[in-house]
Amino acid sequence: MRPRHWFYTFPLRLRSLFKRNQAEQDLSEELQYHLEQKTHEYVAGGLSADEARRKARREFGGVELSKENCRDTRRVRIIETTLQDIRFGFRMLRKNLGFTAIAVLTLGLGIGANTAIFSMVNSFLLRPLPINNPEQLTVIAMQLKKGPLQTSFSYPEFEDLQRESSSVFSEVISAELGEAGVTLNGKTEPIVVNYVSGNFFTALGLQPFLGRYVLPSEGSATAMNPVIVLGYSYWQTRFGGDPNIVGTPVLYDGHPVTVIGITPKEFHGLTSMTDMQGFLPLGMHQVDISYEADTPTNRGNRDLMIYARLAPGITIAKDSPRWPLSASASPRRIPQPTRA
Amino acid sequence: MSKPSDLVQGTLDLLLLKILALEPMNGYAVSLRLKQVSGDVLQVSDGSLYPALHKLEQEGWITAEWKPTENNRRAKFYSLTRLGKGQLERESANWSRLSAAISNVVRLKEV
Repeated sequence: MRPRHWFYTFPLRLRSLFKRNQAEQDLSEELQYHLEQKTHEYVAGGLSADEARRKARREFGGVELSKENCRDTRRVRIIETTLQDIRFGFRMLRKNLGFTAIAVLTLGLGIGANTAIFSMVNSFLLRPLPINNPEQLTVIAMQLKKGPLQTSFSYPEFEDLQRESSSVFSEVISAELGEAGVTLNGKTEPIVVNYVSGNFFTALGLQPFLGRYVLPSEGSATAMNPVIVLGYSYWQTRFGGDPNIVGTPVLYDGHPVTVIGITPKEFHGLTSMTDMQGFLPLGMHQVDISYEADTPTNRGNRDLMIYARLAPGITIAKDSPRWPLSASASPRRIPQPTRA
Repeated sequence: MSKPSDLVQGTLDLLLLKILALEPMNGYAVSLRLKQVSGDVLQVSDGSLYPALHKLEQEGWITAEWKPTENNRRAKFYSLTRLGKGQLERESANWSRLSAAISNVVRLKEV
């Protein structure tokens, strides 16, 4: 019964969906024809043309109302049959449980996988950084004379940039990757950290979730300020989200450091696709045994990522600043800002 | 029949289907024919004629075709479908049953 029913009504429904104007015109024409026939009838009966027309119209009742009722039948029908079709669909699904189960499983897997991937991509790549004015933040890259763009800088180059770019950048910060072991209650586990410049957190404008952040005064590259800021997720997994950990010392590669704060949940650091587990001042990189002692002055030792906040009114397209890093012993290099 | 009540609406469908079973015709012709064959007893109000016809079309019991008339105009001609034929038979049977039942009640001897 149902498929035959569709055969007659499906073209009709498609038509009403896509050619609503035409349908309206048809309706008017149909009723108009009726009125004209009625008018002819009355004229043939002896009335004048005007009287006949008026009588026909009067007898019709409300033409607009009639039209509206016609439209209603179509609408009601669409809703009714859609509900019928849905119910029919459910009945058929119930009858073929095997097929239904497979279909549901496949859909579930597909949707689940896509959602998982999207959530990850969303939080790491698509959502803007949860900091003040994220659109102002840029990654600094440099172009070697015969090479590709490179984003690793040395500490002296970082200092140069900080000094010389204040017309273009309101803040210049840096961070470098590091790994260490964090010991709590005798258990040591690895941690991935950023060693950051003193102005890192102030420039980003982040509010700590708990405690405080690295201060500019603690950002020296040579002095060791034994403080660590924990990432939110790491704090949850490693320390069970215990708020009392703030202010407590832990061992960092065997050195005692104090946990001073926790970052907000949405902040994963500035490295894409990575959830930074901890932040320490630049100077703490010295605990790493691979650390070279001349790093603060060696121009060739390039591990720092530099980020800069555009000064108000500066945009990247218009002002593409390039300037050679002042350096006597090294060849000229031209840093180019790229979007963070 | 100026305002279709519940009973009359169903009966209206039956009447329209039957008229169209005789031959395809446009809405005006249907109401005219109905009036004629019933001796002026059964008259559909113009306002309810077309919603009823459109409903029958939506159900798939009648189908419409635009045919040219005199004066280079065109009119919408309805005709019964195969589905409509089945519906007509069903409704005729219902009507027979209903009217027989009513007649029986009405013919009951009063005390």
